[in-house]
Amino acid sequence: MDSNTGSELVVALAWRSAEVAALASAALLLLSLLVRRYYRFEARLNERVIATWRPLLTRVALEEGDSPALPSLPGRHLPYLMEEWNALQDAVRGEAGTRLKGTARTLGFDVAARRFLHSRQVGRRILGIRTLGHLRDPSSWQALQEQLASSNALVSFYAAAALVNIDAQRAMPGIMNQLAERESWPGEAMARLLVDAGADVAREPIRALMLSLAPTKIPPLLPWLSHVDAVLGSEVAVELLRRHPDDMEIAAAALLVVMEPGLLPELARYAHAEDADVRQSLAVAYGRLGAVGDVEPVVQLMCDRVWWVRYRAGQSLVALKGMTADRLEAIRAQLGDVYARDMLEHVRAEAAPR
Amino acid sequence: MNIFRNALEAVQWGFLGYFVLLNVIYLGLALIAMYRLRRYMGGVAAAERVYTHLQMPVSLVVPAYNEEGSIATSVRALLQLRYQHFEIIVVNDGSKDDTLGALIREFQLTPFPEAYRVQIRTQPVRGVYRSLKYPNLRVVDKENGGKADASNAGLNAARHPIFYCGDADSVLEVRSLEHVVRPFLEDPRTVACGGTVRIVNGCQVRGGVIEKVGLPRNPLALVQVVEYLRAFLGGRLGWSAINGLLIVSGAFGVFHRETVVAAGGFRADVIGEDMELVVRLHRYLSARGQQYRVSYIPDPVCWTEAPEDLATLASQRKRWQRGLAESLWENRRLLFAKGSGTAGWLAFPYFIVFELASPLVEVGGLAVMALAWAAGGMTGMGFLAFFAAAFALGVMLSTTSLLLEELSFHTYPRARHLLLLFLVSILENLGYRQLNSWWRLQALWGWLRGERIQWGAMKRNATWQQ
Repeated sequence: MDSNTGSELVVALAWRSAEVAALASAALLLLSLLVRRYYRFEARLNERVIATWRPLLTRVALEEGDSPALPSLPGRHLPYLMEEWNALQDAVRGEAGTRLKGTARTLGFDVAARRFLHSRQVGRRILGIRTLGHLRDPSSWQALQEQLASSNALVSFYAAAALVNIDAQRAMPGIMNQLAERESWPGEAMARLLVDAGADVAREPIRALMLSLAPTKIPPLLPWLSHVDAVLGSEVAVELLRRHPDDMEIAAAALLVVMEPGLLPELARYAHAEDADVRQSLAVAYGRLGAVGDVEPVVQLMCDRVWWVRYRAGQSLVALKGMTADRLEAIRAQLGDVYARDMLEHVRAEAAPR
Repeated sequence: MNIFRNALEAVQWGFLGYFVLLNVIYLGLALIAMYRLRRYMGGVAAAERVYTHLQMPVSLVVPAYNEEGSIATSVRALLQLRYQHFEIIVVNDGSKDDTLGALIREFQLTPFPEAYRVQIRTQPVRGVYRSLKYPNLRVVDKENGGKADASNAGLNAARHPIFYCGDADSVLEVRSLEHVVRPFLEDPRTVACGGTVRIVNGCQVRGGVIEKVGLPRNPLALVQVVEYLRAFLGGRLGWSAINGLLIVSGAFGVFHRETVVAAGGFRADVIGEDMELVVRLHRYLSARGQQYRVSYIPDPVCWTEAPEDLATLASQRKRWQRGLAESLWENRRLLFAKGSGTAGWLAFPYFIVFELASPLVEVGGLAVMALAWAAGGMTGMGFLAFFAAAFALGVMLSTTSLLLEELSFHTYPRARHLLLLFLVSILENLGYRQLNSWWRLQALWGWLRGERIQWGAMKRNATWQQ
């Protein structure tokens, strides 16, 4: 290829690039306008569906006796109505919920929701899962179990909630398996879900799970599971401390949920732990369980080299049962460690009424 | 003559190849972003139901220097954020005006005997105050050391596991914290998260809250609306999807406190401390073989004022380019480092070739071709062809970001807004883009020569504020 031909080729390619890019820009603009139109259309459709159906669903929920005559429901309207119905289901209890379920079955929600489980859209799948959960449809159990194993944490979480709605007792083994295997469920939401399932139902599966888990999986779960049942959390924590006395991550988590004041002398050995998180958790435990008799170990923790341990110990010192302002002042006067004294002033100022 | 022709031809191929490759990468990122947006938007309502009530405590660190007139408004706006567990730490960075006095009067501050811990060394702290009106508001008063130093002082005083660091004059969406903590809740490996920053010029803001979204009348600000859409929705969302995000905007960034402290905090000796920190986090964590994520959420979380005059804009763009150069140079060991993943093997080289060196290629390429045309070594049509290619590819890229905006939050309510932004994405290629490249080239040259650069004062009109 001689130089002229090469030069002509690159110029021709530049023109072609410009043409393609200009055409693509026009197409993208057109697409943007169409997308905007589509979303506006969808928003208006949603408003229309809600305007028509919200009064009807409210009547169904509130009025006993015959259901009002229902208008026809085109397929396009179904997802919007399902969203509205699910929101209403979240808000009502008892008979009203039962009547709404009847209406949903009349409208074919169960069939549509099962179809939605196969959608590629996450939002649509979750809508199907929520609907089946609210309908308490036992025939969907297997399909929901499959969703429970989904790699998408949200889909899996909603499936767990739906299964709990249908049969909490039966749902527990599957949920505990997921808790053992995945770390992507938000802890606090998971704790709420188990509270909804009922502490009676969740207690034993939780105990069995926590005592069978690999030590590395225990620390993130323990604080949340203790929200489900604080007494159970404490029992499990004590057992875990006995089984894994040298595992500092477990110790740091367990010290936050122990509820037995009688154990404090035994737990005091953690004041010498290398891991600052453990010493910090111990300081918090003193604040929760301790009394004025525990001043000495708490003051020792206030002399710790790590700020957070000193801070938590300071907060605990102020919170010890039976602690008074005079006593605090006397402790301050005797403190030789300047960091501990600074911290005591800090926490006293923080706790002072404004 | 043959040598001249061959050299010119090589420049032409290089120029065209560079632009095509750059735009192919941009389009690739935009496609990734589109996929991510589709998934994100599809599950956003469901995710909100689960995550809205789950709140990780956040420390908001607000460095302030000579902001006597505006600091109270900024803090009041932050206090209105819809979030349960947050503390605000305003750091008065040795202001020469009465910034501290304004805070004391407005929020009834009283000296607080804070057991201040120095995890990161800063200029001396003169005192700590707390508000008698708002229990979650503290003020750290320190000697002047710059924004990075002030941020570090705030970080020392922060109590919560994650912290927000941003500009005092940015307007945050009231639900921004709810959105931005979600990646931390979803994935405990998250160490930093950014969100979409929008231009506030042309909007109506009352009491620190966006009341009405609009487009600015000022043409310079209008062009920056398109630039921000392109940078945030296309680039950052795409990079974050493959864990290669090297920039979390200084206007809005949320970080894992302990990780930032362990990495040494913000560096006071660089001009773009926000970008430098993120690149350093990649280097620091990958060198330790630690699993981590730098995330990005497409939700609009923060509105910032765009410069409306050329001098301020030039100064801002020079600072950004200088910050980029410093961040990449100071963390050069990340480049192709073992275990550095997408950040070291893809994002870092991309930023060197297509961000740092782009003004050199754009201005240099144009200059060479203009010279060749003037010397008769290239036809007018040939010159025009290259200009048309660069122009049309630029428009295509901006239009892609408009589509991403429509697919996600369609913040600008009217169709004419979209058409106006499309028009702007055409016009920005006629002068604005070239001017930008020229400023960035100047900054690059200044950095190579070791010239010192100051932050300087950002001229703000704040006509949107009511």
